[in-house]
Amino acid sequence: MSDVYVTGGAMIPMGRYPASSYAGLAVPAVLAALNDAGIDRRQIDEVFCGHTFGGMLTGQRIVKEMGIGGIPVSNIDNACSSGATALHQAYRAIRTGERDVVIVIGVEKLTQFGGGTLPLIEDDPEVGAGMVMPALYAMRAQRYLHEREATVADLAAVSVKARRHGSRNPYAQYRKQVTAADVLAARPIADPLTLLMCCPTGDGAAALVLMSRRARERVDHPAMRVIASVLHSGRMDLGARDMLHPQITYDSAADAYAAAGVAPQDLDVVELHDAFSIAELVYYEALGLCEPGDSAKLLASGGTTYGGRTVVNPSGGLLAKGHPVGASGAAQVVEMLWQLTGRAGDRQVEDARLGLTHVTGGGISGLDHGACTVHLFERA
Amino acid sequence: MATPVPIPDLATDSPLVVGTPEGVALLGSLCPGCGAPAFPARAVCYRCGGTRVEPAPVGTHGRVYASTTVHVSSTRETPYHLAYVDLDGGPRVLGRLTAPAGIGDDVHVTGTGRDWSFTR
Repeated sequence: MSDVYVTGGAMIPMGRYPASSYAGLAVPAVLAALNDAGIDRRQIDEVFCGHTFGGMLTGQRIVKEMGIGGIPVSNIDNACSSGATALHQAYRAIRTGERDVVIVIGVEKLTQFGGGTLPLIEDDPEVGAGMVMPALYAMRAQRYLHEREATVADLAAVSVKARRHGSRNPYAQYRKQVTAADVLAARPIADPLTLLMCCPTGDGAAALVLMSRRARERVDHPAMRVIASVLHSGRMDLGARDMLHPQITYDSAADAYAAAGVAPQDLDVVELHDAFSIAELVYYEALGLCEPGDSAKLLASGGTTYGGRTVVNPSGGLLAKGHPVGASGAAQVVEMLWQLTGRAGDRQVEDARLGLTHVTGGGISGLDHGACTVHLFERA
Repeated sequence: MATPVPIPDLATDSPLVVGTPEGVALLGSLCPGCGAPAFPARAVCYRCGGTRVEPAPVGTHGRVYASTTVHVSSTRETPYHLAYVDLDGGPRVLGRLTAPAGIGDDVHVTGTGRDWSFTR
């Protein structure tokens, strides 16, 4: 069993790039990640590419442009968890001692759909009835407002924080700050969610270099160690499910904390799946950053921004940085690498040593989510 | 051993609702082994794995667990209304609402054939 390190990472600024293919988006990120890790393409043992809408052989279409081939290249779809699932597979390949240097790519081009909600699988009975991702999170938000002592102002406060953090991130799709009044006055998407409580549609690519202990010793480079890598799938249940208790995230987080021997209170930085503002509040509770019921209070206390105990989504999160589905899981880890190696610029979390990334993958009936990945990292 | 054959789960010739003495019911399936109801009907019980699942009406009335009005769609006319409804003695089902309804509201199934909604 080898320790696993992330020794390089890079991403393109998220945005709208209709003139770029999947390879056009990802090649610059991969080249920058290789450069960041100080390695040559000939040292790569294997590649995992996470994407959901790229079509056949997306990973090969990317790496061939850099003359990388002959080695195993695998394409992974786990919806929003695709990039993080690619990381999980890369982690396993190194952990077992089979590989020394593995590249992870997360990439997506959502502008190919011309805007609107994410296309889901029409064969799914709920999708057939009109389910779209904002509607699912809107119903979660409605339950939150019903069950908690919370108002739509709490939902707006998540977006205000995300935009404030994102304003310091040159890689964020949205860098303009907004007020709670702006968020509440934005056009309705699925009640009670407004446009500014929803992540944008955009394109993105992120790449990571993972190394075994022995490979890392040869390059002596700032790095972070992967101390837990957990992937879960959802469990089918057609009965009454508590929408404020996403079991898949509770279970994945518990497994990750147990594997690494750390507690949520120890975390300095978290990048979590805030595809919609309600999600951040629900996930504070599921990741153990507060007791169930206390999430709005935690946000209002400032405990999840700079100066608080755990800075959540210093990148601006999916709400501000953007959410090109398959790219997001890998992009979160690029941000974490920058945070834990002291390279996050104006948005650096002071003395960040321990971080968590979390991303789910939804849009499937009968499950709370189709996939969930939780990773824990420590400064190496 | 019998040859495995595909499940025609995309066929559009079977109704999704059926008339019952209690009212229009969603036509799903019941597992005789563990009693788990499902909608739409399925071939394998998601709860116990049983394969002798039978078609059955799974509910006519229920209460709204959560609801929303959707204002954006590239495929449907907006706005439209959706709800998760806990059917009395049945599963939780996502369906269209004919008009907005809130948490806890009583609703029942309406419609014919494969075209159905929940209504107050």
